[in-house]
Amino acid sequence: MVAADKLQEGIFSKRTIVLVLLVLLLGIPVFSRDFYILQVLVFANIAAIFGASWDILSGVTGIFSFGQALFFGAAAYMSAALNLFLGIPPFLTIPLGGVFGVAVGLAVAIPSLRLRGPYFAITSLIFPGILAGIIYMYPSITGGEAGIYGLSPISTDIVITYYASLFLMLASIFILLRIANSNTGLIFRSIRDDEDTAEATGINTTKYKFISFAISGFFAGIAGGFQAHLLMSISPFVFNTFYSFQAILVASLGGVGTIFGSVGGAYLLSFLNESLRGFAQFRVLILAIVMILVFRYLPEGIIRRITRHYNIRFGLWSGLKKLRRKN
Amino acid sequence: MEPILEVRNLSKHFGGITAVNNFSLQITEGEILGLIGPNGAGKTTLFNIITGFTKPNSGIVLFEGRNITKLKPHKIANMGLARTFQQARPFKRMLAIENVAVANFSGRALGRKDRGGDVLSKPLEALRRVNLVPPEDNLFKLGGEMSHGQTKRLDIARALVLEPKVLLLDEPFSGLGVIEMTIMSSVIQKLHEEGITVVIIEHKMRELMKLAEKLVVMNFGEKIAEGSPREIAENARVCEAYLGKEGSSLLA
Amino acid sequence: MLEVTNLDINYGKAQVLHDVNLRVDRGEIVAIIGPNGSGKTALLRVTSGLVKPAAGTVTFLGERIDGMPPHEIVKRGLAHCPERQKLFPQMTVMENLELGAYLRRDAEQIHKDLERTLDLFPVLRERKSQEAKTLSGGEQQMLTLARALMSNPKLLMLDEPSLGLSPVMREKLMSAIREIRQSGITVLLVEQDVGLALSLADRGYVFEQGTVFIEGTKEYLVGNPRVKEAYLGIA
Repeated sequence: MVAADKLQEGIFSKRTIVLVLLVLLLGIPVFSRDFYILQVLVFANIAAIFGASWDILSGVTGIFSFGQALFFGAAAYMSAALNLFLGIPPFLTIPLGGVFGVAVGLAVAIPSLRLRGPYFAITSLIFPGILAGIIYMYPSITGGEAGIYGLSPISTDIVITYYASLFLMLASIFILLRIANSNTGLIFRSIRDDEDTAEATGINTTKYKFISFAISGFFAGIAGGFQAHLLMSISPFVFNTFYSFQAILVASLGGVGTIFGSVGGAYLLSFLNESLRGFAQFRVLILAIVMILVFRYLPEGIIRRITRHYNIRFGLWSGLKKLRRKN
Repeated sequence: MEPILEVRNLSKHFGGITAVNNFSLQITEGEILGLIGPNGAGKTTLFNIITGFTKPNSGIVLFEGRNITKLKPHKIANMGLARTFQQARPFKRMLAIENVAVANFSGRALGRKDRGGDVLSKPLEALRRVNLVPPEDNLFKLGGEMSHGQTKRLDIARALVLEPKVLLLDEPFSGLGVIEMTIMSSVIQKLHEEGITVVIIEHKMRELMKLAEKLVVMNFGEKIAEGSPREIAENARVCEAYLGKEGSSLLA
Repeated sequence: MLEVTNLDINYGKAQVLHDVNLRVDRGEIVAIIGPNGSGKTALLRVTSGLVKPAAGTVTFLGERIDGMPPHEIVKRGLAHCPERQKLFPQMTVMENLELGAYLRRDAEQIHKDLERTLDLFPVLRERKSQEAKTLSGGEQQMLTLARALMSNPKLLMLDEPSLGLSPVMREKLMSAIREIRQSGITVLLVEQDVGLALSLADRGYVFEQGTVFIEGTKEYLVGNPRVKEAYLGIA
């Protein structure tokens, strides 16, 4: 039956790819204990989570945001505060930071209801700056411009830190992917494609927008909290637009709306960043050129292009599985 | 018998322009009604007010006797009042089956006692009712890939999953070729026979005349005539609205 | 002079016009009437070069113009006076008129035409130094018409010129169109106002649902129940 054919996977099934990558990623420390390399990979994992957190909000639900750093930074400071003032260890402060990210996400959802598309996007640029401003205003509590030092590390052993970041990244991507392919993800996509039609179809778009913001805030928060403990310090730089753009870049390189693209995008960006280190000031220029080329010739994202070419299905609505069984 | 849908003294202005002016209308359950009038007469604004996308300046909308004037669109849809839009509005990046399946997560569908098997049975049935399936291939076409006529029927299929009591169709025939119009016409006729109350805004008079039992004519936001197609065609005010004063006398 | 054969027009995926055939001969006033959504404006968008047809041809003075860019079409003497006044609101009446002659090179003749146009529309002569946005709706319509004339057209296509005009202005418009024809310009008139269209026109085409429903001379159309049928679905 035709239905089953359409859902058939290409030569490389999803399962094999994932297993291969898993083995590779898990096995890296076996081959190299180089601190530098492992640290780069840890940052890549954080960037992947962060990019995916933006993707679920902007790529899947269509609420374009330039302010992802807000959740990132807010959760980072919350994790730092819990750690420093209450002595809570990282493995708890990070998820709690994520929860705080949910709260911030819900707060940001409110203005998003009033502002349509591009207007919200522009306004979201300044949200992180507002929190940064508050940080500057109360330096005695927040450490102000200089920031706060002395946070507990994830681990003294870089290998353990690496595995922790890998685990967190895999878990986050797995959950986000499940959400994107779920019925909720279907609704998110309907809001993205045509909000009015979704409303006219009986979908409470407001409710689902809140949910999307909450999820986005949570995972961005996780990323923020993890980075805080990784660096063992925190400063208002976490609210910098640099981070907001990094999330967008990571997701875009991989494929907006795919979730899994952020993994490839993060690793790619890390790789490019590191390999161009020798070029000093040309690094940014080359990076920019690469980006322009990608967006011009592969607007759907590099990873998405590859998975599409080999017909590997990561992003299928779970409901479609029923069609496969119908024959 | 109480009308299933009623609007009383609706008025709406945008800035200096009056789009709807003290408009009242009663719609009986099961009837198929055509809403016509020159461009800019206020027809789509009326639909938008009824379905909650626009709030009127005055007047009320009653659905099954309940005041729905201030409700949000999704709440109204979930009560059984569904609509399509003038421009076909599919979810472009989603498959046809996904397009229609979204309706399965509306409040109305989720609240149904019989969840009717799995999440695809109602959508598949709806797609059959609008003649989009067979062929099965259509299930996997992206919303943005379908022909104009197909997307218009897709919109209707989506509305059907809501199991609406009243269906408001905004220019279902616009942009359709001859064959597609025939298909659309038979789809609408079938829905009417199933007991759904249908209100159609149309400019393609000939098609509408074949379907509608009753017509309501709007001009400059007001109701200028109401009656059977024959009565409307012979109504002087209606002729003037379309042909102009001089025109209607020239062509009388 | 102008010939349209087997024309199909699509806006995206929606079919707007289907198998349209019409012609306009020199010196005529030809009217296109029909209900909203019947495709009248679409026809003018194709003949003026704004839209390419999906199928069929448009020929002007023996040359195919479908697919040609608008300014090339204007150069050949086919002027389009659009539905919504596309004036430059902050420029004066004179400046708008001069811009109408932008593609022309014959300065002396342009000057003559300017005088002639101002004679045709005395109200514009009165207001010639005023900014276009200060004119009333009807006066703006006159200006749009006058500006189209400044391109020295052989065939002038008018898109619903009577829209929004007061009865007084409507009369002025009608006499202006008659004078334009007197001066040797052929007119293709797309109109909502059936009375105006049939009073002025020698021949007419009635569009319905994207195709030509009925056509004929003025005498044939006036009093013909089929015209009413085009608008109301049944006679």
